Amino acid sequence: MRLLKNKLLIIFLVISLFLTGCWDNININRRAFVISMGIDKFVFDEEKDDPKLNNDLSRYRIAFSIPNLPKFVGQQGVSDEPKYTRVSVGTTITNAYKSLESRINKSIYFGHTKSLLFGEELLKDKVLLKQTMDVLQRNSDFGKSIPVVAVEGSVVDALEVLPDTQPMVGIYIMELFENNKERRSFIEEKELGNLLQDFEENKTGLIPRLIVGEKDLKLEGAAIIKDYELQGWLDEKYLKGILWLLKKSYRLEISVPYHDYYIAYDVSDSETKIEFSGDSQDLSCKISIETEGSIDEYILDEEMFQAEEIRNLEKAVEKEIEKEVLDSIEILQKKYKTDVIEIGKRLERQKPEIWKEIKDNWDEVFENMDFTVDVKVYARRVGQIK
Amino acid sequence: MFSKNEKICIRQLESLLILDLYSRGVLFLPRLAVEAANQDGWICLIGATILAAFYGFIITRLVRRFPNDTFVEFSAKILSKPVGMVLSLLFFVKLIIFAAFELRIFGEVVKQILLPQTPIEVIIASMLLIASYLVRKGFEARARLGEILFFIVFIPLISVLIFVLPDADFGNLQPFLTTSFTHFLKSSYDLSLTYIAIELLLLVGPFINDYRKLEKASVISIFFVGILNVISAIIVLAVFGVVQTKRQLLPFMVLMGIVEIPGAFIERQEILMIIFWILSDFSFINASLYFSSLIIKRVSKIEDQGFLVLPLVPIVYLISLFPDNIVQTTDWILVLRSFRILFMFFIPLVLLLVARLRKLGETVEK
Repeated sequence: MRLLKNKLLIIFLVISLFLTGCWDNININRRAFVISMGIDKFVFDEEKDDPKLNNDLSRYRIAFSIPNLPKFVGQQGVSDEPKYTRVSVGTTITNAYKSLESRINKSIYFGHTKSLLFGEELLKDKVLLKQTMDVLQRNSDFGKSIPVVAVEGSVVDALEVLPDTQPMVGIYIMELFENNKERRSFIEEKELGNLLQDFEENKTGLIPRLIVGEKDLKLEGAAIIKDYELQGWLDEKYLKGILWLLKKSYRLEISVPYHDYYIAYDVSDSETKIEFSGDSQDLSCKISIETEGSIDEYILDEEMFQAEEIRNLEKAVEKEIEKEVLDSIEILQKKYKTDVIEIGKRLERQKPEIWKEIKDNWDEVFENMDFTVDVKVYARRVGQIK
Repeated sequence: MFSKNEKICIRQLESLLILDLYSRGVLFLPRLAVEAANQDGWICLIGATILAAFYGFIITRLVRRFPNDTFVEFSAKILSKPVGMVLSLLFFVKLIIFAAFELRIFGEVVKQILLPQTPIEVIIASMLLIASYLVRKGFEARARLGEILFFIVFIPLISVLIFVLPDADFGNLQPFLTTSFTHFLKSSYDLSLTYIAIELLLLVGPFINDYRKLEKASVISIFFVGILNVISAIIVLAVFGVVQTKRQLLPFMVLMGIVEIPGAFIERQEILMIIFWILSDFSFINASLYFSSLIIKRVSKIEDQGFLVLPLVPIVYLISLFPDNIVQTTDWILVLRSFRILFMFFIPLVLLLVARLRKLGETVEK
């Protein structure tokens, strides 16, 4: 009896080994990990495109960048390419990647996507951009912390670049974002989650601009989006001024004209306060910036090591920062007519009563608002020589 | 083996109650709170917790009068046998329906996030069978499991809340206190209905070894869950802002997705963290099944409860597959929401008042 029981137990245990596994089981070799995805509007190109595609059903042109995994981990692969770029045209984003699955011998997986590239044409099309933002939220495979960049030009070209320090464009962009977090570059980084929040709450947003080079990629400036439409491209010069207001990232360095040369001021810490005064008819905004840092470059044969001279240098830096901020605000007010610096949001939080009165014609109020900038610069250190 | 050993201590009751209370709210509650009162939603949650503690107070007062009876017996004693029978059957139906809908939501979420190719029927059936297995082992086994699950559930949960802090922008909570007082009261009442699991206290009387501490246990559990809910709502709001929180179907699930554990080499860690929700949900489904079979047992006066759960399994399974999609499921839950207050508050209150007038049961003061 006991023996029979043991035998039965063993049989059941063995059977259970064969019963495990599930419907979702898929071999890792069969997965195509999309490291970066470039989304653009389909614009028919007579020279390159199949004429059959020239119809209303072709709305998106989507580029997928997939690594050649064996090559990547140092094994002998079937081909020498470090990555494959596949382009698919479809009516919706889902349609585009599903139809790619009938062309590629693997199953598409977005769980490890490292960056998203939005093409210029997509940013100009309100409906397509809204749909894109919807699918990126609805599909649970896309994490909320994927970096997003805007490409001036073709997303396919951007994904086909082979940067020599890291062949995967997706990982390259992610690492550029990390540089920015460590304060090594001048961009306003945008992750998918922040971008969605900006779009839905403020109806405006900044997306870092990706510049495609021969052997590298560069993040510089930003695309200004208002109400899901591209308003224009903001130059790095103006973006620097805006960064003082957005608080999220510090500026690395600022070059200031002084006598007949330039000095370099390195920012180690800064704090920005924004205050409002006046009523709903006559609103003005006061921006106070306080920053700490060191003077990194000066000139030979001059003596900087005196309190008075340091004060002069600080004043020069203050003037430069003030000019930078005012210039950027002016171009936002006059040229782009877009409040990407979240002035409206701050007003709503500080003075909800005033915001209630003016929120319906906020654009107009923003364009005519008076800004005053008050900068306080402290140069704490001067380096190794006097 | 252990099925006769059916007395549990207060600590075990607390951990069971906390798990049951928590699983109902965690995924939706931040969104419901923000939908009710925008950035002041978390304040309404504080109100809701206080209201829930009040419901808990009424229920425990009632149960303490009849330490050896469940709802089935004392409702019959207080309001005559037929009325008690009808109320017990109503309670039974309600438990079954809520268990079924909770199961359906569990199935939908798992299919959406974990197992897209697996049929939802299989997901639901496997959960249901495991839950009913535990029901057969009796209250004491449930209590011991509850004690283990408590740590498995709350340690990952609290670590999510801590790791997500760098992404939080508490400016999203401003402007502060813009909701009117009547709106605040109404939202608090609506939100208090998610603390539905306290009505299970109506049935635990005979299983507690020290029923005098029942009130304390209910207050501690409700406030523990209440504080966690308020903190979760504040953090969800701080991370996503008002508009995004309203947009997300399951904001807490998305929150788990953005956690970046410093120095960790794994990605997609939210899949691991969903486990905590699955476990607390398991605890709720198993509690509903247990108590519904308990009602049947007490009503029909059958000695052994174990086999009674088996006929319930297909019923719950079929009800859970009844709604067409997740939208309909949540709609029906909303419709049924107004009935929740019956067993959470009104019926216990009426029973307590009548019992006082008729001087039934033990008096609390001694």
